Amino acid sequence: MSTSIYRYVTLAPWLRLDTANGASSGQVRVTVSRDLPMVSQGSIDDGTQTPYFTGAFTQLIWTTSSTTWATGGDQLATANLKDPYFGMVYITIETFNAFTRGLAKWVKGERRTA
Amino acid sequence: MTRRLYGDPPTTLPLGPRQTSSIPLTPSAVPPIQINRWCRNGMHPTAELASRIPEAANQAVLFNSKQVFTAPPYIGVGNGSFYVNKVLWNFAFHTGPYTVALFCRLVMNAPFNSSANSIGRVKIYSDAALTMLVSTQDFNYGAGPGPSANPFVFQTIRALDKYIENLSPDTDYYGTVEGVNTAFIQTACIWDCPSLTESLNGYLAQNYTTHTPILAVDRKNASDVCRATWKRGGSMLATWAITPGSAINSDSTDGYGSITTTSTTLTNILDRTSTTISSSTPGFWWDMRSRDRISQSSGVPCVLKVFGYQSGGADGNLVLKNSAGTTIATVSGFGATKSWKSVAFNAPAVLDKYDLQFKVTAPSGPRFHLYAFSAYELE
Repeated sequence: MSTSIYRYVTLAPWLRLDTANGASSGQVRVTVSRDLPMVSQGSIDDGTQTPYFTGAFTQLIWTTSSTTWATGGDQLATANLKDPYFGMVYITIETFNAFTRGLAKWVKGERRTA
Repeated sequence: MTRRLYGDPPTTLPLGPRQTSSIPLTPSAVPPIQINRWCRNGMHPTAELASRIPEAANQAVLFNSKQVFTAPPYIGVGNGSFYVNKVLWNFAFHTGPYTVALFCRLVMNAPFNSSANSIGRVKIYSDAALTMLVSTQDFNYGAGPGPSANPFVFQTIRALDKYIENLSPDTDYYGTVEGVNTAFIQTACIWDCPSLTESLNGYLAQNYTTHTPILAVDRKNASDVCRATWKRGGSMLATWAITPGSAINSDSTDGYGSITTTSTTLTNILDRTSTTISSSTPGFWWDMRSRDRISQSSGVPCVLKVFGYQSGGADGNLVLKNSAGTTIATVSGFGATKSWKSVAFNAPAVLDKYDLQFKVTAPSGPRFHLYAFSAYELE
């Protein structure tokens, strides 16, 4: 019997396409990270930079071409990302030609051995 | 007098039988209890099994505590003027049977008024009308980098941590997160901290050896703490609060502090347009599977608490519906002043999406102001 324990979180955002820029496809990117996001080295931190992640993180992307609100498909992030002392993670949600209302689903799964 | 810190061993309580004064394990995930190997028929009880049972119980109580509040997504960040001595978020929660403190992490950025000593403030109250203050904790960010600095940058973000102590276990509390001096609080996360030395007579011993007798209290200790945590833990299902100043979420009729409705038709609180439940309406996914006990044939007992008030004389309703559109709970009884109202309900033990809708009970004039809701399991 395996002595390793794994745990996953099932997550999905609310999203729809933003056609303001004439795009036919948009994305919502959710990053689950152990550390706060920061600006990448060498970039000017002027409030326009996309976040840069260090340390352990998982990045998930949902794509939509519909202007109707919907829940994205389920994707898994490992709960092992959490800070081993406090047991917490940071969640960063970004959009690219899409709207989001945040996460529709964040369900922690059972302890598993695989 | 020496001030004791959270987690210090008890000074006055005698240790209970088979209990220790220091934490005998780490937060790391422990291997599963190998039932087929250690619990075979006819096999002598093993010391390994005797140690692993209290280990799992200790870990369940200490390291699987609950979040009592998380800030909502920041959709449409507001103008700086909204953060002047303003309550940003409200939340309600129930402390677990061994809770002694809260741990708070506020992520703050440079204040909109760079010369002010900006402060994030968390207050805990013991009553639904928020008049009996139990504790206040300040998170001092300080002044900003300069009058022309852009507050929406990464390098000035700080994560500030503090404990809120002296809370009673198994008790209802109500909290607020407040921005003082144009503080820019980007997000917040608050969770409860159980302790088996502060609220019980010690951690469960897990150092059994070959010749250690196995007593009834060994089983009882593990059973008692797990049962108490399961029944009275107050595990949070969802917290949601309006972020003042958000042009999308908020309503100008209340200084952008709440969302409001004057409609007698139930309307989704997230998109504020949907009136019929469907898979595309925004809601909350709650996984209630395996959370009911065998005697709870009607579902998992939960509590829904709502913070709001009404103007114009008619009551407001906040209704919780499942994905089939069936009403699961209704909160009502709102007065002319802000207060938390609550209702107990049973959630079916399934994975399902729940929508929340609100309305007023009479047309033409009355307005229902909604600030926040919290939902958690209890019993």
